[in-house]
Amino acid sequence: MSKISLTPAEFTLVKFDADEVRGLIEQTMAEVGFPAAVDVSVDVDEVLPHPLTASLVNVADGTASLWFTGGCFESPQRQTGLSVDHTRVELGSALLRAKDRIDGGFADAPADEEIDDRQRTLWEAYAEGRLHTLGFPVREQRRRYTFRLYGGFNDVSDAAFERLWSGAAITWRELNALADELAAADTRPERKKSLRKETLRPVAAS
Amino acid sequence: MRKQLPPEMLARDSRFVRTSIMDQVMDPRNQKIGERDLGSARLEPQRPAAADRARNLMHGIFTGEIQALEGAGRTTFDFDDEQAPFALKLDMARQCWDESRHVEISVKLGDWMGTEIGEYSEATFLYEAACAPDPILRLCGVNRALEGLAIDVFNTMREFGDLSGDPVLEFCEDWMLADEVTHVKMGSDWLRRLTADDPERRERALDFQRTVDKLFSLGGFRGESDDNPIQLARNFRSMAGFSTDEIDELAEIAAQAQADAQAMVAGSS
Repeated sequence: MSKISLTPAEFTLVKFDADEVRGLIEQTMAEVGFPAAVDVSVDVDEVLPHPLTASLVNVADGTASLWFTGGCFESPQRQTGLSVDHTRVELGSALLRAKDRIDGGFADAPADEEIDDRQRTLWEAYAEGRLHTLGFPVREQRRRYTFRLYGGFNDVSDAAFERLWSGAAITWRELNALADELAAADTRPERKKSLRKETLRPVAAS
Repeated sequence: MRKQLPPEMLARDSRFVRTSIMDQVMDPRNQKIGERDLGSARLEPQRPAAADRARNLMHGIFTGEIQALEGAGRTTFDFDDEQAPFALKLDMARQCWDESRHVEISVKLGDWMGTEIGEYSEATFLYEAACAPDPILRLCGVNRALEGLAIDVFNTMREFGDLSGDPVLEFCEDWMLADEVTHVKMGSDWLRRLTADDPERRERALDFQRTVDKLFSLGGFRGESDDNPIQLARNFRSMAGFSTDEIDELAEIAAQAQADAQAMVAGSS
């Protein structure tokens, strides 16, 4: 049985109920079939509001460490309030990416901080496509827009999205090859290919 | 039909959730965010969370367009022909047509970006600036200050579309930007015509515009540095009838609004 830890233990800047968030973590782990032998540590940076959304996932020493901005869980309609739907989707996506690293053909993927925007957006589409199949409240067009932003506004990018959204199994190596295909088809000037170097995560916390 | 409709009576369906400026000002995270070094605040595709930030801004544009439609619509109705010449009301009616089209375009851009109507809360301070009892104050507050802000916002979004290679966003924003330039120019022209013999009234109206401009610079939301998500669009403002001195003054107002916000953060820490 996985151990679950949540930081902070109580939220002080946002109106998130820590017990409710712990319950959502537990529920989501069950829904995505997260391996019972792996502990889960969730760290929420409650300072960063919506729309500053970002997450990082790493697996080491039998623990999956998930970091989120508070904006990932926040309702865009109720400032500082929790959105259960957003929280489930963000947790589900991160847990699936952790699961991919554990037993899904992504063991050789670099740490989240080291993968670029295109690789990241491919992986997230793959994760959300599976969440869609599982009945999570994901929005396909929202993910598609993000995918085009980093993968390119062209037919090759759209075809790659369809493939990943279908949820058909893929490995890190195959995903990387797909990222290369997108890069080759991307006719935008280099500055439009948007390889991100910045992070919202405070350096001291990484 | 009632004249001078207050903001709380604006018609919205159940998808919309209203927020107040106080919710934003009193958010306990503001001070902590001010202490973080989050890098440039410009809306650019390579910035973290660019997609969600763009969606958020696009929904703000959408609700802003609804309120601009409501504001211009009220001005066609709230005043008799002595208070506001018929030709001015015709201009406002034509602006209503533009704003209606902008609402439709914004809904479709929301669809394109994966945003639902009402997904983000709506603040009504744009409409509140359109509630002034003097039509000249409305023209300064809405057409020159707020439609001027719209020029800055649309230009920022158009550049975001260009930088990200999104042909739909860039094209739509460019079209709406062209309309906004004419709305601002309309405000500038009517201000000069209606106050030609009344410098005191003109100064009152310009004072109101400065107040609205400062409010909408929102502690650094708009300006000319990397700290400002929305960049002041000097060229388009010039096309809309702003003099260089007026643009410089606006830049100063924006810088002051940002300095005030920083001082507030420093004072509370």
